[in-house]
Amino acid sequence: MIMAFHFLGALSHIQKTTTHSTFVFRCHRIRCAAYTSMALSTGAHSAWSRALLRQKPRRGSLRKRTVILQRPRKRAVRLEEDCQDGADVLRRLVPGCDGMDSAELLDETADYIRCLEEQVSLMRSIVNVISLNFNPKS
Amino acid sequence: MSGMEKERFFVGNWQLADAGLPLGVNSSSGADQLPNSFVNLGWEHAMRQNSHAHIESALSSLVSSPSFNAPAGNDSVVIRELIGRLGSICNSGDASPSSRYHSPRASYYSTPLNSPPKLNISGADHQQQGMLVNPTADAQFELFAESAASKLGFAEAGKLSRVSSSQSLAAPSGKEVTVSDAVMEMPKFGRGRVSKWPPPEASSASGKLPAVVAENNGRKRKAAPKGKGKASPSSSLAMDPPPKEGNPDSKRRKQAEASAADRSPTVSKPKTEQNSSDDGQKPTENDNANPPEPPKDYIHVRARRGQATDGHSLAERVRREKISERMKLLQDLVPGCNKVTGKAVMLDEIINYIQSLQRQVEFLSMKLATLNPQLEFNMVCLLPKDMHQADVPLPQQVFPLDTATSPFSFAQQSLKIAETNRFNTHAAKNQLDSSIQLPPIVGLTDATNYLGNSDKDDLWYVIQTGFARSQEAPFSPQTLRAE
Repeated sequence: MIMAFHFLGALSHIQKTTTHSTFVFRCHRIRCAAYTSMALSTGAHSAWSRALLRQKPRRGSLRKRTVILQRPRKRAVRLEEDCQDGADVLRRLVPGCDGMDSAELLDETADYIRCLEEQVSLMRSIVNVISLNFNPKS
Repeated sequence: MSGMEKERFFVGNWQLADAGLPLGVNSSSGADQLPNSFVNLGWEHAMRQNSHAHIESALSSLVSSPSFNAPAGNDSVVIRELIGRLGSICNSGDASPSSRYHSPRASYYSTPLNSPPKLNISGADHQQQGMLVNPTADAQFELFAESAASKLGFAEAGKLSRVSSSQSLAAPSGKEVTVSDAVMEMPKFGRGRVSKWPPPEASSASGKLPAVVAENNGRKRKAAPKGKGKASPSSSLAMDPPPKEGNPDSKRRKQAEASAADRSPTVSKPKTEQNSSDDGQKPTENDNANPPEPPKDYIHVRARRGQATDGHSLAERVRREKISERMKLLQDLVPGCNKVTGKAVMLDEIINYIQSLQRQVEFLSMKLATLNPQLEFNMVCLLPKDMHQADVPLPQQVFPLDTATSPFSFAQQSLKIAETNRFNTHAAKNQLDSSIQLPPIVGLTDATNYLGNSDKDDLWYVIQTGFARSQEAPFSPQTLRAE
């Protein structure tokens, strides 16, 4: 729900401000808005959401309200030695997971996947609404 | 069989006992005055119906009720003696903690008391009286002894286990003699020195008991009471052999039960000692009777049989288990990964899925970008059902309008409507289901806030999402069609 609120607000904002922009630019803006709304809905307790919010200070106060101290890792153990390249790819895909060991990486991945799915379904429903709205009338 | 029934009822009655509800209190006639309400739980029934449970209840009431009035009976005299002595010992040794222990002890011990009322062990006759014939009863006594050992401090536990072992001894052999023997031997050993207790020559089950107690003596005791308090002892302890359930186990009961099959009594002891030596940083507790809080900063691990027990490999194993746990969670998230096994393949699937989701986001954002300028989405918030009629004409008027023509009037209208009517997703769902012709209109729960924020805008978007899961179903075929 929070995601919908943020995303729709961002969409409306983009709609207003980018009437004269290129299509590509608008695409990019919408995509950024999507990720930002994802991060906003998650809050600051996920590493990826924090990383996303750091990249895009746009809406509201994005200060990390609760500073989550990571307990000092004795060694950033990557226990998946046999699938190390898989873990690397994952680290590239999920934002903000660079210095993590595999266990936390998998946690972040799960959270990220959940949020992504929600965002995709939200965007899909918006597209449906708009297209349904649009098509019968035109 | 009766023992098994008993166990079942133990587990079932566990919560009742824990809640401390006085079940079936003193309903029997000729009931003696039982001092504690805890002990009263079905105790009288036990006394009357089944002397089998009689003994158990008697023994368990040892600790909980010092002054115990046994009903008349031959064996009851002996029991009274026993109880009196044990009760006196228990009470004299530990005045303050015992009062504390009364309730948890009683709650544990009352489980057998609860069972007899439900158990119709009509077959149990007074031939079995005094002694435990069933080996399961012995096991149960070991359970109690075990739990007693953890909760009470080891003196009483030793005594109790001694009693139970003597009881098991008594089963094949004579009756009152062994009981009195147990009674005699009780006062011999002082508090906490159970290890001096010569192991009884009886069954191996009772032979485990000194090991239990000795181990419990040597180990850190902190977590044991809490651990035992948490888990249902009959079920969990019945699974694992009693010696295994020590302090380190209580913290990771899952792993303990998972690797229960791997354990054996003889092997675990050196391993646990290595364990304790490895986690030397763990604060070692002295032999207090008080159960302190289990240390929360360390994750206690039990080495499995046949595996390395040094600190590194233990930590590695813990991490590997964590990782496999998370991989399982991810398997549930990612569709179609149930058949896939192995970390590498699983990771590839996850990566593919994330990439596809990200691609979908891009694609949908492209779609939105194309759709946005074409459609001036003046969307009205969908109102609750009672205003449905008023809504229907409104969107039809609105949508063909160009935004430049009458944004403000429309905005004000929608603002008014939004303010007067709080819509909810349920209403939206119903309306969406019913009105396919009406374009599904999206809005926000806090629409008024949103309106307040953007009243400066020329274009007014109040969008209500009915994007709850149930609405995805009507959307998905449309999605397929649209895409």
